[in-house]
Amino acid sequence: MGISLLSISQDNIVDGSDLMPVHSPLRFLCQATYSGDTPEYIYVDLYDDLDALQETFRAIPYRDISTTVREFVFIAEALLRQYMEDFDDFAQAGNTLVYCDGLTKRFKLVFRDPDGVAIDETLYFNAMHGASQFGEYPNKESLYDNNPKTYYNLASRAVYAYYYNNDEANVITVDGSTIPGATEIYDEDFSGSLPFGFSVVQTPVDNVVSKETIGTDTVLKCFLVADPLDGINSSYFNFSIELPSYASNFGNIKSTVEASLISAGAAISYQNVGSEMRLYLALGVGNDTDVADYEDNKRTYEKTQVIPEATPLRYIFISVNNHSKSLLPASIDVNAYINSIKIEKV
Amino acid sequence: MSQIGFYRYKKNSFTAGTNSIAFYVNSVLAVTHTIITKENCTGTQLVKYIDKNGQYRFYPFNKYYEKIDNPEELGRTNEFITSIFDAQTDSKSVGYRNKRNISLVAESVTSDELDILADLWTSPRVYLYIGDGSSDNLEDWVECKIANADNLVRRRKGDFGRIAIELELPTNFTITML
Repeated sequence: MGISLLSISQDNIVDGSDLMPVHSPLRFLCQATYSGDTPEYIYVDLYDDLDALQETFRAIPYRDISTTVREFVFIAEALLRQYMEDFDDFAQAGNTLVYCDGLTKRFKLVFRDPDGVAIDETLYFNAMHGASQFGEYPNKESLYDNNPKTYYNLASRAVYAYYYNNDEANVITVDGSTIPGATEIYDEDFSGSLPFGFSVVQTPVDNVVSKETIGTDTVLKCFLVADPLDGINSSYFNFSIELPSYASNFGNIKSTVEASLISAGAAISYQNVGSEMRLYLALGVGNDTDVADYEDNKRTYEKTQVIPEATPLRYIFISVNNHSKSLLPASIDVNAYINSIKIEKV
Repeated sequence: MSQIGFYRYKKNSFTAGTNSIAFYVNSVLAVTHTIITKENCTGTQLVKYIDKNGQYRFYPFNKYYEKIDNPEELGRTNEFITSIFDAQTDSKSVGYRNKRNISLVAESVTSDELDILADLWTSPRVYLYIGDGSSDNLEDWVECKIANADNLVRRRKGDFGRIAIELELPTNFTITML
């Protein structure tokens, strides 16, 4: 006698989407098949994402479907909200992809027979801060499916775009950048356009004396202007090559970048000048100013750096350093090529 | 490798026009969102608000805004008069509390924009940008409250039009004699 079967009759999952807003009514229905006395409630255990029991609630009778089946309703929205985190805005560096803490929370509901006879019914879902309206499912299917959306912003100002991830195995990137967790090793020789979301940010420093252009391929063109009357010139350009939303998220990684410096244009007739150009590469955060990174008379430069776990790797820093004792022409074209980028787990 | 839930990409800036942000999952294109970037004139006001999905959105309003103070006197003290010749007054103000509102206008707002802006009127978090335009940190925003009623969410006719909002700025601290 008592409940013999529990069956969730409304799980609010729509087309695979288990993303449910908790700022509008969210109700779960569960049918209990019984014999003998009519059950007055069933238990609903609420577990968090760590599978820790948060609280046990009661689902209340909603309707009698037959003389042996009673349907219970669990009124969830207000109860779930108290277990959700705050979702105030937070500071975020530009051109980064971060997880939105607090906006969603994973829950498990276990519908349970108070007498412990019937087999429990379990439901997993992801609750989110959000609201649906009448006529809509209590389910954010559109967000779950990541349907394209339109955002507005102002020129030269920041804008946010959101992506919902429904699988922990996914590696999410923006504009094609690759996180090496996806393939363990990213090893790319290229001579075409900058791949995987690389973008070039010119970082003028010190006594930049001329303009720069970004070549159509991977060429970074510098146009150094020297003072013909000054035998020593130390002007230089910096380029930060930015890889958006990239971070070492599976442990220490080793990154190797090879690039070349090639004199062009006017410099051809000044071979010695070209050979004395220094190409300086730094990987990791910011500008590595270690003097040891400078090497004389080197056209191709390779630099390897081990980057600790969780360190953002967003910049490949290239500096074309013109520090020559030769008599320089009035101007020199210099091309810096990125030959390869290799990222591997160590 | 990742967490279940929402990820947010912050793009520092775009040039005016239609732009996009593409999300990739395991190096495969998953979705491309459209970014409509509006011209940035000196004095343009930028509002940030949370929408019905818990996502923060931006919307620019034009540079023709006005600020309105609504001071309310805290009280007055009586002054004992010994001589009407130099007593100046028989009561003095203690000070004022002030509500400062800002009225913003956006022109040529389309129906699609209105649909998105519909969440602004009931948003529990509305911010006004007060920075110098070069940064986007917490101190560059102040939290406001939507102060006007009867907010338009759909036009009877026509696709373009202007909308106006009035924001109540945070407490405007005043000097008092207390």
